[in-house]
Amino acid sequence: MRILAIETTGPICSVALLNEENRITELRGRERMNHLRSLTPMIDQLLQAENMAPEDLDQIAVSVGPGSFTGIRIGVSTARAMAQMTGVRLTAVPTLYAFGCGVCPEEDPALVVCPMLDARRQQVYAGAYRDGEEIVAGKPYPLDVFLDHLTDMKRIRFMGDGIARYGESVQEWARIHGVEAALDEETQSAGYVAELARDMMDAPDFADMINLDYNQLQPNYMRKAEAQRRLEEKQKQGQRR
Amino acid sequence: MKDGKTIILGIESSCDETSAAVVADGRTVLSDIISSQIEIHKAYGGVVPEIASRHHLNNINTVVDQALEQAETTINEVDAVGVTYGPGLVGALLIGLATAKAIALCKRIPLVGVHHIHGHISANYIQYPSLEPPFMALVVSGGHTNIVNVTDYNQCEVLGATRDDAVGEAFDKVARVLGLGYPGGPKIDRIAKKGNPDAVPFKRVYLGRDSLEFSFSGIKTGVLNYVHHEQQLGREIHVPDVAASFQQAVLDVLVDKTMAAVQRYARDTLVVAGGVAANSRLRQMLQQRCDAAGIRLCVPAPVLCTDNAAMIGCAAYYKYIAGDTDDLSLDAVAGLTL
Ligand SMILES: [Zn+2]
Repeated sequence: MRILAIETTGPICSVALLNEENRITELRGRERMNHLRSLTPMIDQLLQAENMAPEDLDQIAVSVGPGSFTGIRIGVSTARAMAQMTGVRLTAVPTLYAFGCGVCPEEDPALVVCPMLDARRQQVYAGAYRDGEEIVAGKPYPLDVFLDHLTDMKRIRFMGDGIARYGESVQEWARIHGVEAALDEETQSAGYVAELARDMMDAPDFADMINLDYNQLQPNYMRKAEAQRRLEEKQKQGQRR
Repeated sequence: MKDGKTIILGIESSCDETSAAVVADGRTVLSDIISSQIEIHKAYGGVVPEIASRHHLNNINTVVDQALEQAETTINEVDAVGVTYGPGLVGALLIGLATAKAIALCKRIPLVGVHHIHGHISANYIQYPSLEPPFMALVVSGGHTNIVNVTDYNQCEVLGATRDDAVGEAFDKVARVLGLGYPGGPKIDRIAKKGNPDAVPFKRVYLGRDSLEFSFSGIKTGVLNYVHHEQQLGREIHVPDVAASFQQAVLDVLVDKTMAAVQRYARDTLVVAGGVAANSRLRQMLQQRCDAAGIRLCVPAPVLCTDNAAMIGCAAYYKYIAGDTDDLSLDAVAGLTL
């Protein structure tokens, strides 16, 4: 199975290639937020290093969100056009799932892993994962609502770009609830996307997210555009009157 | 190559139109597919960048497919892919760019970044097969108001720009004040035909005798003040008269300065480009002045005045044959200058 994986939903853009020998090579952008500049050249570099052409791939896996809207679109539109040009099929990888499961340590199956992405407006895109299983659904939450789901857990590792903004609140919460919390600013990366994509290939739960053609691959913003949300609110108020 | 001709796939997504086109030897349009979002943005009274970006993403691959299909061209016959990289909405631009780069990567063909304004000017090469530089160009749209001295296919110089609102932006804002809705340009054009352009003496802003720069924010305020003043006096506003007077005030300045530039550089040809080039009064006024001065006037058909990928394909062709291509790190530049 040869899978190209793309991760552009976070502050650092990365690409990974899983080859026939089940070995993953990964390239990460050096600067923050220059995804559009670096993505295609990195894909080119990675394929050339493995002596592969785009059409040799079995699957192109893309982290489809949640995360930066712009980042999501760079990854999805690049993958879509690559699939359109080559006929290679696509895998829609859930961002939090890939990041959370990717970080879960095999040697410590009891550890709860929480990716936490900054969603602004006092919210996070977050989920909880243990031993490769999702135990709290990955989606947008107000920070306190998300933390309420975790009060029974003993040891949690938090990571993602939400730590920079909400780390102190998380630590305070952990102290109050007697939870042992480790905070880590590691961000999502394509290696995890490649791993989950490989596992998705023969997992029945993910059957409708693999082997997609280019028009079937959809971003998963998990949020409406702000202007649309406001317009709908206004229309609702208008109806009530 | 197809039938011995160089084939360019053009892509444009800088604002609210998703477009792809196939152009042969720079001037023959084999297809020009435009997917407009105008109906979607009407509810918001203007283009919402986030919503535009989402729709571009949904549309772009289908638009590319349709462009190739209608041109009866396969992707393997395409020699280079040309794409708008600025100026425009950065989130919108990047959909076209990411797509173009992926095409260039997968098909191992050159990528050509095109300046959007250069594209608009190039629409004239499509409309007028005999047109060649040098000439003077007036570029007028919702985002731009430029007088451009075009010296060669890939060379030009901006002689004048707007200091504040673009002319199309002023039309949109005034249309909103008059309750005409969005997009304002065509609405004002239509209703002004029923009005008296001399009814309200709005101030013409020339910014100094020799200046080729523009300022349109003042006239927008002028219309607003006039409307408020009339309302306070309890007088009804005659919308066609106000629209016609506003339009005339803007176009007088636009036409005077453009003709001054044509004369200053002794050009024998004037080309008009951009969405506002579809304005019928502007066309009429320029035609009269050019006829009187013995100047050839070129104005593309309305479909070539809106944002479209054929004009990008044309501009890309001339860059491509000059060897001016880009690598895969090409970035979107929202405020790209000429
Ligand atoms: Zn334009």
